[in-house]
Amino acid sequence: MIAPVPRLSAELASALVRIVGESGVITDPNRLMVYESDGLTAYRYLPRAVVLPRDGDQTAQVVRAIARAGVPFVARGSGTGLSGGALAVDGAVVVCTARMNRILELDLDNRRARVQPGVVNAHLTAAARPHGLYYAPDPSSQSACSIGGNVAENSGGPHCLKYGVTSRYVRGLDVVLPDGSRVYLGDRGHDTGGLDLAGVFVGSEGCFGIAVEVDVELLPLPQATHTLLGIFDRLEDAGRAVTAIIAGGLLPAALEIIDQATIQAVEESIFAAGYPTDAAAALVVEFDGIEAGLEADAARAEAACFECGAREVRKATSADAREALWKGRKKAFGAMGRIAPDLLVQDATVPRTRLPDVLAQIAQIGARYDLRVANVFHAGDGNLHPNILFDRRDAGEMERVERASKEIMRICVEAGGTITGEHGVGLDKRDYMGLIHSDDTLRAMESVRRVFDPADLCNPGKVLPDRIRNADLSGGKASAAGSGAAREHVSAKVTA
Amino acid sequence: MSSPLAAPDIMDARLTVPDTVEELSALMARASRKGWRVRCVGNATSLPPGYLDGPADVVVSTRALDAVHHYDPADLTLTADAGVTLAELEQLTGEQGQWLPLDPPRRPQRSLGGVLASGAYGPLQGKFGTPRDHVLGLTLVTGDGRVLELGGRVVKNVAGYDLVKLAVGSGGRLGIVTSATVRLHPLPVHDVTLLYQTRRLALAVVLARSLATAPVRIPALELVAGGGAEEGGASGTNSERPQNGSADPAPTWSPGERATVAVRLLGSPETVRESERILCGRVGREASRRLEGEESAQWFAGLERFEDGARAVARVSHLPSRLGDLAEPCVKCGPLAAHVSLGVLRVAVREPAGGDSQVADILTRLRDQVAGTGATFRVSRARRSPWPRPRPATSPGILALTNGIVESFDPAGALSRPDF
Repeated sequence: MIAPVPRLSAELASALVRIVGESGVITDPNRLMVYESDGLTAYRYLPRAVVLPRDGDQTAQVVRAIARAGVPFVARGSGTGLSGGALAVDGAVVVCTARMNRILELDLDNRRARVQPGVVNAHLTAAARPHGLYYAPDPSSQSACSIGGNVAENSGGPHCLKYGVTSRYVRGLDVVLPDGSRVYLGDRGHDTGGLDLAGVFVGSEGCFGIAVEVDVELLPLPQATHTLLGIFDRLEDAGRAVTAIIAGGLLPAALEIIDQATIQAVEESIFAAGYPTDAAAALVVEFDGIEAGLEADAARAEAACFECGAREVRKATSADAREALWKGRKKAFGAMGRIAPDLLVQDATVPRTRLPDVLAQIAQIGARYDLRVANVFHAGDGNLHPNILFDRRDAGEMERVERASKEIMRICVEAGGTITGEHGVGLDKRDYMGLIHSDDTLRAMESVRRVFDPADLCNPGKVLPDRIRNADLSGGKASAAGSGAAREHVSAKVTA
Repeated sequence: MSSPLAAPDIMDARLTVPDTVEELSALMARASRKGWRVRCVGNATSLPPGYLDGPADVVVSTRALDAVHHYDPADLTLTADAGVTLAELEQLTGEQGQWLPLDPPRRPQRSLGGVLASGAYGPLQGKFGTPRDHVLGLTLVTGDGRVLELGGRVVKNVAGYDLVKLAVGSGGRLGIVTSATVRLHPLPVHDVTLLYQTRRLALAVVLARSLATAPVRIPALELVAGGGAEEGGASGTNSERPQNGSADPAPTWSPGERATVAVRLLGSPETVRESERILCGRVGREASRRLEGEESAQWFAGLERFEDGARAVARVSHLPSRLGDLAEPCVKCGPLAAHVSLGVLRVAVREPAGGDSQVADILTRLRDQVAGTGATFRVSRARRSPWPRPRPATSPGILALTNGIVESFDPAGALSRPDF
């Protein structure tokens, strides 16, 4: 079932055209279909319209016009999100940042960059690299995802084990609030002593407004990088090696595991990376920094792998050789597309010491529901990505996928973990929020959301369960806010 | 039940030291209903200026919440109550070869809760960030007594809006932190401090900026200088130490143009040695002094006492590249310690001849002088009022968001502060 989409009023349509021009407003249903889904293709919502502003001023005018008309809206970057965060629920207008793709300033003296939100993550590093600098957060989709999207999701990536996630690197944000007003959040390098509003905006999944300029910190490029690939006969041993490396006082830049199902998918594909297909797991360990210290660190990590039962450890220092070792990890998702038409990626995080135990339980759940589960994940952070492979045309299988998926989530939470490490809650995991947060905490989140968006127009239906979004938050002044009309965000999940 | 606080003079009739979160929650709920004003002092080591001025009905200390609930060395995470001091954490984690790399002023005595409420940090922010970057989750008793568990215990977590960021550094305006889970790091094997001493401040600025833009991530990079027209010295003991030629590893401040740039390097011996080579090559000279191991740590521990005994501390900040424009006016007001890579300068105003009003005059003059550069100015510590208001003033948009958020956590204004 697909929810009927309200039409854009002629008045609003012409107002938007006046601001961004004819080419910046899309209302043709065929062209709108491009925007009906994001990286999580299980959900589809056709937007009422798509608007493509070119800068902050245009965005502010667009948002003011939409808000005045009382129409909900949602910001969208590159559409690579994996939690349905950019979906146009409730007939929302999509404000797409794709045309805001300029790097406004590279301030080498201060190691800062000011970028528009549509700048592709990898393009920023490409621009900074000739000056010996780079942008550290590196989500796996970095060649396509945008900085604005990274800000909304507080994106991580393989190297955030050592370097931290997006919020660590955002110094300030020029934001269009949901009523169209504009405010600078953060300190622009200043130490103001106020509330960390930039901190709470990062990771707010597009519910607090639209960042139209982002000030980020850049780091000096590491002098050298050493990469190891440990091959294991047991997945649990790879998990133990991760714990041994971390507990041994080493801080690798990345610690990534891919399991046998993933190795086999990769090796059967055009992306074959030369990993042994009978291995139960491969562990990528990477160190970067000052060349002189890396050899010793790599030797200690190698020893830890062997102590935990590695059958073989491969090493690489040159760029080409390192790329070969990484290939199986980086191409994992692409390769899985070959063996099943659909893929459900989960994103739970557990304490690192619980990895071996949780991995074993996930394998049992997969076996019990007769499903193929392939694991490829950020092991150093305990951030799991169990991928359930399925075919949505098989209704029985769909049901097993949903049940298995819930069970996996439950065991991760029981292990002291969380429901999402980096993909966000979006539309997908709203109903799991109650597993890890009390109603009081969820209501506190909703109160803060209402401060940013009292009219309840910005990215409706995301992050918090409907019962919290529609709650009367008596006690706090925020209760006066909100539209009052209880909204049901009917799921338009495509099941056939 | 009461544990001695670092500042015994506030142990007056209004002081309450709850033993449990439930007790504190009930107290806040009652305070909210009755319209009481509550102040929370943690261990009372480092209160914001004027925090206890005005009519406070209850002063709460979290000192009795002093348990460590969970410490898994293999996972490098620790959950502790707000009243645990950083010294106690250092002891506990040090036994496992780990640490919480946070070095705010007065580090040893400060309580975990106090550090998180204030967001205070020190030189190590250069590599490890500020308290917001260390906290995975925390428990907050809101102004009206709700007990909120925010964040979690895992190192990566985006489940919902990041209210932890709001609570950390909020100055206690949203609620009282009662416990927190922090991320630990392995203790570095090697600890080296390079001290570059110069006869002229301008030269130190050039040197510091050159180091800050070197292709090496420096864990801590500080510039210390000056002492104003009066006799200098960061603390009573330090001021009596000779500037040069002593083996005693502590920062010194003295009148005049002399300045020191301090670089702290942490890591494996090979990494530290190579970093030293790169940095010395970049500035074209060897360090004036090189401290290793305990001596290196001690020099920076001395810097943690920079604010001790000051009548007032001003914080001036700007982009790091503007250090040169700000160092000169700052150093005329008192000893200076600057976080070079962050662009934050601290000035400790010490005993001037004319008493408190003269302190206010010095601060106001400094504020007006740096205003022209576009820098931010605020007073982070002051023993007595009056002190000048921060500049630039908070914008109406930020004020509206801040007030809305504060109100949602503390609807009755039980924790509202006269200084905001």
